Amino acid sequence: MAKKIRAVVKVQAQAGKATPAPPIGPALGQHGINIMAFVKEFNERTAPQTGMVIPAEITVFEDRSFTFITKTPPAADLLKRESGVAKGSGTPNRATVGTVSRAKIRAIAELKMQDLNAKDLEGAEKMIEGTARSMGLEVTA
Amino acid sequence: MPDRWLEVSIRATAEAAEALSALFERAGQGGVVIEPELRPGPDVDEVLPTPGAFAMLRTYLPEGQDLVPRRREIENSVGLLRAFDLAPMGDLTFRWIGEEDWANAWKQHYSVQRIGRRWVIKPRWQAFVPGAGDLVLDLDPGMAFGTGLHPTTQLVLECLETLGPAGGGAGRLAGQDVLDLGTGSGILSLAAARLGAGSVLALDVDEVAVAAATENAAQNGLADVVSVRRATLGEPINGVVTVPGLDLVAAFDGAFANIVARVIAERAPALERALRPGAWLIASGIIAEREAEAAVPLAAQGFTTERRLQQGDWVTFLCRKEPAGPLSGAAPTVQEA
Repeated sequence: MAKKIRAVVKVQAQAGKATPAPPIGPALGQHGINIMAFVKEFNERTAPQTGMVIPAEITVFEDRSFTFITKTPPAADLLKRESGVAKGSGTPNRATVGTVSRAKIRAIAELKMQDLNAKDLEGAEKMIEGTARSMGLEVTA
Repeated sequence: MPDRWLEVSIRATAEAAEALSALFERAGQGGVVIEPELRPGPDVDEVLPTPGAFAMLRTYLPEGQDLVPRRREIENSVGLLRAFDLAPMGDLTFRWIGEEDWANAWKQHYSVQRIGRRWVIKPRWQAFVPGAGDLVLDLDPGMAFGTGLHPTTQLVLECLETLGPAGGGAGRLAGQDVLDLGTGSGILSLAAARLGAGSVLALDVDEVAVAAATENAAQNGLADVVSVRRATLGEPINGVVTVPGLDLVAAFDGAFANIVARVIAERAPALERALRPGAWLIASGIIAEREAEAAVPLAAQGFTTERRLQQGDWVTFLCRKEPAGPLSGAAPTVQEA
């Protein structure tokens, strides 16, 4: 039977390593969700992606049961991993912190296509490229 | 974990939310929470964004020495965004919260539940009059896993009802020594004790779980049967070792491992050693897509799967260690280093 939705909550957590600490604990606790049940399920589902930050969109129903879907990691995290830099530039217009190849931009765009509001792959690539530049990453051929 | 956290909230449109969430990601602890404002849709299970697509954004700052600079960074950056005339956003609000504020909120919605044919999970703070044949587990899980609400726990309890002689009822585990690896709230240890187990050793590496399971055993009058220890089985994990001074080789007639696929796989050799010939093992907490990750190592240790149960995405195995007999020991087993 269809259940009435109480709220939708979006969080991000380390794959396989979510804990009941803030922000997850308070975010879910205030809706009456059993926090440990979410943590266990999130960690089990995301264990293969350990090392990445994974966004989750949790739907909370009136009876306090919940379902959730996981999304692809944030573009900035994927770019950091691909380019090997630990942190983006604070002044991206002046200081670059690394490079990322166009092929890698395309690979990230393909991975994130399902979660991006892009018409086609080319549009998705432009979005990822924009994120790269805003972090101080130079896009190479 | 700090005792108190400063919750930072702001209401903003989708446009401003992008920039604000990047700020909260950077300055807050553990990231940002975004909760879109919703209105009912045409169907009961459908919701739509409110006009303007507003959302509430939250992040948390732990009490401590860098709280003031982190709070200032957030306030300054929000001021800058406002100066850029970024799409509408509300004012920043701050409030202190403690673990008790969120950890217990779900309890209001936790009520007496029936699992399988005879199990009744009764929250400690609720009254319940048991019927004939009911097996009641009085529980306050606190922040430990094992409320009985999760399919993994429910599957184990259902599985337990089929163990032992048919019609064995409450005495179906009479006199057995049982191991509960990763006990959480202690729910499965209590269940084994209710079914007549002579002794239950409940292990967990998490202090919160050990405290909850100890209290639950006492509250159910089962403290003389259920022994709760902060320990593991096999290789140490996060500095937690096996139970000192206890010989855990061929020591149990049955075991629960309601954890996750990876840990079951990793602990399969130690479980095999801890169990007596012919003993049962209920392995649970296995998500269907990773079933093989647990099933293959269990089979490699000589466990045969007698039952496979599934609820939603979750799978539980009832396994059996090879019985003693003229051929026992003939099959090669992998021993833990």
